[in-house]
Amino acid sequence: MKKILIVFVIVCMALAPHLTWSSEETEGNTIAVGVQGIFPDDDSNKFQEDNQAGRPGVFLEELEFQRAGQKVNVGLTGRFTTGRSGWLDLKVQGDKWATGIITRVFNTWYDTSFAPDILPSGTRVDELYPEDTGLDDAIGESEPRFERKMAELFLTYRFSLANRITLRAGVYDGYGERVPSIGGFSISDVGSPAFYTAGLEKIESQSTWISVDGKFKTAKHLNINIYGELRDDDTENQFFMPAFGTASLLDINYWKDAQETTSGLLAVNTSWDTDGYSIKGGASFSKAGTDPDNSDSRVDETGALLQQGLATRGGDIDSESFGGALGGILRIRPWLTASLSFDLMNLDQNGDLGLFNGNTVVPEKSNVDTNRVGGTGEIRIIRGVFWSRLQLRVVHEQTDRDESLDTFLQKTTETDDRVSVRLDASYRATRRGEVAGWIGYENRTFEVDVDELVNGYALDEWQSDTFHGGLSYLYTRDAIRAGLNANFKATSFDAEPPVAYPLFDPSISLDSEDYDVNLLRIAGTLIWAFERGSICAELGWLRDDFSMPTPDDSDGYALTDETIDGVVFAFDGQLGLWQGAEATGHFEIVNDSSDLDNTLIRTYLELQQLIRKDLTLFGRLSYWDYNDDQAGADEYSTTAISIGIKIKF
Amino acid sequence: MKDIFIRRARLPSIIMGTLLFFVCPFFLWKGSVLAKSPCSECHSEQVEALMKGPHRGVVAEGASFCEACHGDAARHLESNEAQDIRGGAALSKTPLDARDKMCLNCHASDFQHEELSPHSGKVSCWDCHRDAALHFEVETHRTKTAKDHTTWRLCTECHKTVSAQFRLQYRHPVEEGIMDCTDCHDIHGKGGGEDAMRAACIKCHPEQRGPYLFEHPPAAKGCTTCHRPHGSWNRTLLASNGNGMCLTCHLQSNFPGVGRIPHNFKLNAGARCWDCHSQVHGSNTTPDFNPRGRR
Repeated sequence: MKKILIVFVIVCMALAPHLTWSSEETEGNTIAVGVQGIFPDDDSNKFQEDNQAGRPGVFLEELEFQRAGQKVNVGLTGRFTTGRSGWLDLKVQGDKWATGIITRVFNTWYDTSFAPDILPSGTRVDELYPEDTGLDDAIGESEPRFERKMAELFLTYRFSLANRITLRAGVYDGYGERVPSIGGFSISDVGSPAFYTAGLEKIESQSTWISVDGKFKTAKHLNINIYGELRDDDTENQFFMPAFGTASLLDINYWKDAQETTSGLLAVNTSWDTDGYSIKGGASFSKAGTDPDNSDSRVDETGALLQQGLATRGGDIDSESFGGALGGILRIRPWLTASLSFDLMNLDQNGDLGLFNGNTVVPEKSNVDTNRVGGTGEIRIIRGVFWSRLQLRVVHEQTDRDESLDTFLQKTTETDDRVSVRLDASYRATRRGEVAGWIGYENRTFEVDVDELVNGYALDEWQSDTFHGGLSYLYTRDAIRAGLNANFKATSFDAEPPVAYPLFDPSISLDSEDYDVNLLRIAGTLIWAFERGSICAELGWLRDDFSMPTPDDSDGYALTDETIDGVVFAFDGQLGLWQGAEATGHFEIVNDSSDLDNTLIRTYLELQQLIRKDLTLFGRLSYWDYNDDQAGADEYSTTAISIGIKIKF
Repeated sequence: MKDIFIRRARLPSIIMGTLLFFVCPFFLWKGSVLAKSPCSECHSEQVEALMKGPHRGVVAEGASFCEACHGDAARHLESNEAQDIRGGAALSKTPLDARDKMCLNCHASDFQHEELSPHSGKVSCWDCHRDAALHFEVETHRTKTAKDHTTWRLCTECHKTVSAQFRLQYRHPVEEGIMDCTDCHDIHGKGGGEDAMRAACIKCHPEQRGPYLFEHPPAAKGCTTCHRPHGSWNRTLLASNGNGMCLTCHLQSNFPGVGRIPHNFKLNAGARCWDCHSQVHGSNTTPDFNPRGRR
């Protein structure tokens, strides 16, 4: 992709001076390219992980061509970072049709040394195990980069003002490596103490899809939307999972998973809309079939197959889902609207496979049948500057689960009932200010009937009460815009313990427990535009709180109670300096002051100088600093210098 | 099919070839905007701007597009008098829901489940698309640069706490201008709830698609039970750095002393549940999602 980008940029730059388009027609056509040098200090891998695999190289800051002609409009827009992430969209539009290609590339990098110096319990890793427990020490040097590429072609044809059909065809390709876990202290199943460090996962994943989306207005009030999609997903993963003992590397587990899934979806939605009422209905059917050939196979360090996981007789997993909804909206008065809708869903999923356990093929089966019905009622009042909505929703869901493998057997019936109510209101207090708020409540009851359970781990009954709400205020005056958002979610659980014994004994009953999970988000912004520039400041406070009961018999057992509590602050400024010169600055700090205790700073200063009417030079100095009290080895300070040109043509 | 289209080495060639196919005529061809609308005789600036945007085709068909908002133009075309048409001043005083109906004349089928959206009845078409987008700007719908986010800027005008979450250490690259809110969110309210959100995740993460023989119910229902897609303090956008998230459902009063394999040895120095139960999205071989346990 980098080569494509370089070739493309060179072509554009070579052609740009020769293009004869008038300034009026080409207004806004821009290409901005540059080079960036990155000078990392300390953990450069961690820096790349936090910055989309950022590294030295060429970048496309901005590409925008818009061309309107007699027959068609053409638009080409794009952006690519030095980490090879970005997008390029080409759209061509005629009077009756539009077509184009949309491309996306995402690059991610995983830190090979990612492991905390201090375990969450407070224990230092180097007091338990050898200091060298990183991924490199177990499997050698690796480059855990994962790249996702996507491309989608589309063609839209418009029959009339409201009738059109869109065809899409796309491909996805994911390839690379990732580090899926950071490990933790453990005791291996054979009885030797072991420390599971970060593992490595090699992934090859491809998808293709085609879809058709038709939107029609067949009569004055009837609207129909038909959507169909066929999709194929093919994934193969190889895992490398090292385990260290107290003195050295004990072993590395290698295995492979692979599965191919073919799926289809057909959905039809209709509505009959008049001034006084609307009736809406829809139905969808989806089907997916998975062939998990080769799943859980043992491989060696090169990936060569040692023993298949699934038996050759194999089998597959089929899933069928049907959903439907019907609703009506009645406009009782110009200021009063009431609506009522019902929905239902059925999911039937069956799997029948054979798994190698040594030289024996063990059958494994699952059958999951889920049925859900729901209803929603709503009243909406709009009077001048006042807007409000009251919504009530009731959902009942039942799942029959029948799963078995070797000595594992679980037959349960789960019911999940939810009742929720939510009230929204907003009021434009003055011409300059608007206040809005909402509050909601949900009661959820989850119950399980266990018919059979051997070596299983079924959940048991629990009930939760959730209160959630929010408040926002927006203020506008001349060149000043200020806003504040605050929202919270507080859930209290009342849970029975799960039935977790190897042999199900309905006479055994453990104690119930109460616990809470709370979220709080508060953020505000202030934007001020003045004659020579503008500033924008943002301050946020984010808190996640898990207040779990203290376990009875687990000295040192950590991470039940957890509070993640931190602030973010960002500042952007733009200032015109002298003729054709402009400075832009950005500063951002993220600080977690609770369990994680880390601080991240991102900042840059950019200068732009207009050289000619259509040519601007820019230079940018960027700086990142990451401080981590739990994993000092992951800290970094990185400086980057970028220079580039922006051409308008 | 797979062999033809999705071999990794061929994908860049396909993309490049397709781009060149489209781009070559783009460089060679020259043209100018020709507005066929009768309104363009007097309102050429507005009509030509429209011709550069997504409404080009319907504008070219005549006055009907303009009439969708400005009302019947027949008298105005004859008289050229401002009072014979609903002009900009009159439109600005029209209630937002009435203005939305103008858009819904053609776009009603885009909003089949609009009433399920939190935006329903509160956010107007004009709040985001605005007059400028219709008349004076070419609407790209894409983030242009990290400093000039089109959709991002619009959404965070109200969703400020979401903006703050995107500042966190682990986040999807929206602030960097590589993704956009609309990549995941169907702002117009297509509906579908958790299923629709999961479908949005699967677009870029098909490795977790399933279906699996042994499903982890929250993963099959929706990714946001465990992940914070806007931004998180924790790796892989997990809601929790510890086990509280898992214990929210898997609580037991004397945990971790019970179970087929006692967990008090496993966890008493601080391991996470998913260190061993790593196939949390689902597994075809282990009902407890612990592939290491089979080794």
